[in-house]
Amino acid sequence: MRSLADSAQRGGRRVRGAIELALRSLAVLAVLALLVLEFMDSDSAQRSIATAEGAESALPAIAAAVRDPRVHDVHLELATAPDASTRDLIRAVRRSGVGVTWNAPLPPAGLLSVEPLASPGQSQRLTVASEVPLILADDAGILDSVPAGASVILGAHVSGSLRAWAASDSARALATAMVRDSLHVRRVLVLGMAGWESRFVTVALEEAGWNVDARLGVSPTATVAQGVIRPDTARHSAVVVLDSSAAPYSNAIADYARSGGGVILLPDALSLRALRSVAPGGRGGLMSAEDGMLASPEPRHGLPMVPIVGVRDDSFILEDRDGAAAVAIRRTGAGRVLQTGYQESWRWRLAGGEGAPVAHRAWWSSLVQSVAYAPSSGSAVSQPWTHADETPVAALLATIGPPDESAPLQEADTIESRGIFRWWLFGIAILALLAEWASRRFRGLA
Amino acid sequence: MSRFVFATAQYQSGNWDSAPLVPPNIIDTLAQYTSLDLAPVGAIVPLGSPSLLNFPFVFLTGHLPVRFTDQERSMLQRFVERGGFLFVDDHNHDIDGAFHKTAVEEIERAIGPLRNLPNNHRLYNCFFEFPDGPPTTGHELNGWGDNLVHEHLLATMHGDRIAVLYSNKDYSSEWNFHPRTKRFLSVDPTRFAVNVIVHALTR
Repeated sequence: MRSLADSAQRGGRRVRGAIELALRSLAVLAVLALLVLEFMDSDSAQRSIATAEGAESALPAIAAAVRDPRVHDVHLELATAPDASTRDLIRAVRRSGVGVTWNAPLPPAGLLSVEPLASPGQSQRLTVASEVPLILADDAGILDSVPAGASVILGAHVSGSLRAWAASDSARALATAMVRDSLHVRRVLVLGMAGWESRFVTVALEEAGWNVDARLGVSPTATVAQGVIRPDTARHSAVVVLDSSAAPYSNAIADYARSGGGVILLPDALSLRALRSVAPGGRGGLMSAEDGMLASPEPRHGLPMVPIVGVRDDSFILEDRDGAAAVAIRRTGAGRVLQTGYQESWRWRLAGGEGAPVAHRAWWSSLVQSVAYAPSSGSAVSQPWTHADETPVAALLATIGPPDESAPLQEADTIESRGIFRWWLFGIAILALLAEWASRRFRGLA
Repeated sequence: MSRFVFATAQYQSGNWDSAPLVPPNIIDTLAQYTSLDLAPVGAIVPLGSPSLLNFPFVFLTGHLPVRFTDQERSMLQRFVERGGFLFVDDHNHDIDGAFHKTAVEEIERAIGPLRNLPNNHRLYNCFFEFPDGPPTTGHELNGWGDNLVHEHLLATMHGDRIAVLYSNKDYSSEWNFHPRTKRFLSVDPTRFAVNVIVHALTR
């Protein structure tokens, strides 16, 4: 009987020993599985973030991801391209050592910029280029539309920020811009003999909004003057020199140009040596006016012209007529000097076609604008500059590179599911060890 | 530099050429007192012709009633809108004369109302000083025995500029003499013309 009981006891111990061995093995396997999982995560931890809400909604996810030390790479799968603030965040995250790839449909390439003009009306120049038709608007409403493929420059008064969106999609602005400076525009000084050219240049500039000082010679001892005559960047944005009657001021005008002022020289002013030294070129022979051209689409062909010859290497020809330089400009010191070969432009205003006074006024005002000294008076915007996104696609490619379409899209919850699995493994290992320990204790083993 | 041309308006009604010696006399005066680039002879320009727009300063005078044609009225409007300066003088100097009534009517119809020009306007001091306003003519004082002196010139403004300057002081009679006669005069009566033209050229 005893031997039977002993043999049954020995058989039970063997079974329990086998179970304990199995439990230990299970615990060891669970620990090994945990180690393998840990190794896999540390080897290629990537968090993928997919969002259809737009790049803005990805920001919290990126921030959460980079706080996890196991995450080495983030891939963003976005419905819309990152805006300026998202681009900056991605770049910052990359610099912190976390790789960020992204993929989103690129918006149409476009450019939108706005800059103040040195004009008395404080108008702005808008430069717009786009692959698709655009609509422009500022805070006050719609300004204009721009056809596809066009690159245009518009004059406008922008109120607040400027936005452009595709005509086919008004939901999202393609580009935004704003005026960052305003300019101090000063007076224009006109020097010359009393005559129709001086009179109508003055009239045109005043009608365009410029405040004009003038010194117009009437006789060797008499002049008609208004305002302060000596050129000074503290008072004048530009000086228009019509002829050699400006001789008493020629050296002052050259100094004014070198110190930052803008100077416009008409052909007869080139007889003054001090002004020749700063002019873009010299005087050629007189070209006659072309009959009947004043009322044509090219009205300046109807004016007599003294072509600019010997144009200096550092000068730029802004306009030519029949191959001869008509308007040229150069930098002189800190200022600019423009030389025009056209004479008797008043004939254009008086005898030109419909709209000639407006065109004459705009032309003279544009000449002055192109040289005017107009110091910046600081920011004109009330919103932070970071709101502007003038060239979104170019900025996108320059700051965070092209989209990565080949990046594998892992499920967003992969890492979370591994975490849960780890807890299960840990639990199994603990339970197995507890069971094995309890079994041995019940058998009387330590 | 383009020369100043003294242009006289030729209109279809009335007698536009009633003072033929005024242009050479004024050109002579300008040459004496100024160094302006001057055409040595004046021009006669039809008021209804596009060639009017080649002459930013135009003088118009006469004794007789004035009635502009539609073409003349249209060209005059264009001339003024583009910055031209029209100087009109009544060769009669009276208040209710035929020229005065009709010319004022035509100008106001074509351009706009004529108003008194203040006697301290820069026209009166831009070259010679005329502190009392427009100089009085001999015809006003005793020419017709009426001692009728017009205190002001009239003007139609285009913005802040004179577009039409109107006188019924009869400068056409006062200035209608051979230039060589000036040497016999103690005060040159044409000096005011210098102010009118200098003002037109500089403002």
